[in-house]
Amino acid sequence: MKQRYWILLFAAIIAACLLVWLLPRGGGQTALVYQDGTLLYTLDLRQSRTLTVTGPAGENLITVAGGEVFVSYADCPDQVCVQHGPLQKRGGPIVCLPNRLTIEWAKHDAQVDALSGTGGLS
Amino acid sequence: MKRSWFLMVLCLPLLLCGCAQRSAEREFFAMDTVMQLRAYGPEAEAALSQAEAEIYRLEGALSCRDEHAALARLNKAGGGTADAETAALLQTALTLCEKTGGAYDPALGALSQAWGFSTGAYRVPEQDALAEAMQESGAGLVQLDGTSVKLTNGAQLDLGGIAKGYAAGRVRAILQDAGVTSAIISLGGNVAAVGTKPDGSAWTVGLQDPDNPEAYFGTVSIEDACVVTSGAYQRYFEENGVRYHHILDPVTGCPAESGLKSVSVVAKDDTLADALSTALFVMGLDAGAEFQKRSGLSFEAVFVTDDNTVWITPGLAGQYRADRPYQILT
Repeated sequence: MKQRYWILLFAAIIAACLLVWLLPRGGGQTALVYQDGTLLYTLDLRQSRTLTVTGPAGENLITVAGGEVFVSYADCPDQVCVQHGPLQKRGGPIVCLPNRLTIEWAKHDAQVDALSGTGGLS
Repeated sequence: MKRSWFLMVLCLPLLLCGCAQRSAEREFFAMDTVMQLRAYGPEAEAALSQAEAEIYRLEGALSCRDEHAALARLNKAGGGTADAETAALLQTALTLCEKTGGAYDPALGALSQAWGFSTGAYRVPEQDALAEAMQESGAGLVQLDGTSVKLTNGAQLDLGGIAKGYAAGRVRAILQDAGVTSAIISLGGNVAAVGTKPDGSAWTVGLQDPDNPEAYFGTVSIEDACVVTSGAYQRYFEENGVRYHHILDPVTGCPAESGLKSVSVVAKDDTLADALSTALFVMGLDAGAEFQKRSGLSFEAVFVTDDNTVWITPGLAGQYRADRPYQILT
């Protein structure tokens, strides 16, 4: 009887450990929203939502829908972040320089360590 | 007996968690772009704070727009005495200008202003204005003697073509001095790596696709090296349906039309890579490939032509990966 109790407890702990390890990797994709280097939101792309971030140049409307994240509206004149479209699996972060906003993959969801490009957006 | 075995299994997750290296990250805006720094190891946090402070310091020192910056003061006064660091960097810039036959030129400030690239007020300059800006541009108008700088004909220094590269080099030096053996940084798309990844493997750097800047067309694996890309695809403006990008050809005074969409340079020296990505973009594929063979400078390159052909220099053959077909230069 006592032995069965231990085996049950043991199995429960192993199951809990596996769950903790596997969930953030296998389950869906996670995007991070930063403003001026401060992490504002951790977005689970399986959950549709809309949020507004306010910066020096105005507002950015960030939309999560259909497993994607994109900037659906921005106050700024250049609209680079809106034209970027959804965050791509094989690609760089969405950047809004005027509002000092970036949206990027959580580290375990990124396929490269860094992206070399022209960067200077405006 | 059974219980001790059970305890050992219980400890296993804790051991595995301990294997993950401690890491630190920074993301901030400086030099008109996004700076992303990531370092591993117990020294990472303190080293990144130092690196961040250094970037802000260089932003202040090397800007040609901020009128209080050392470089802007030289431009306004037509010269003067530069601080040792600015003078040394200017010397590097002038040397690279000479080596690239003027394809990289640190004294195109007047041209950059005429096109509005340095101010954001983009416009195609009138013939007269362009001719005048040409008269005021070119490293031939710059004299450097020790720390004494003389700018003739109203020449304007613009170290924008190497400032990020220099900053990347400084950050790498700071991290190494602090004992960091694994770090990767991106200063607005200038990527530089310290050592390898914490697991000992090489870093994978994506090369931005000029036609789809949200994605990459290939990757380069690097250790203790940098990757700098110049392209016509992001900083540009349109007037009467014509696209004008920001990389100016010193010979014509107009945006370079060399048949390339982008050039990425892989090298050990960050400042060199930054200047060369601009120079190769201005030179074009044939002259650029020839330069890579003959210059005696240590670097490799990836060229993307207007017809979307990718060419890599032979030294990159083992480091370049892509789904798309590519050609190896001979």
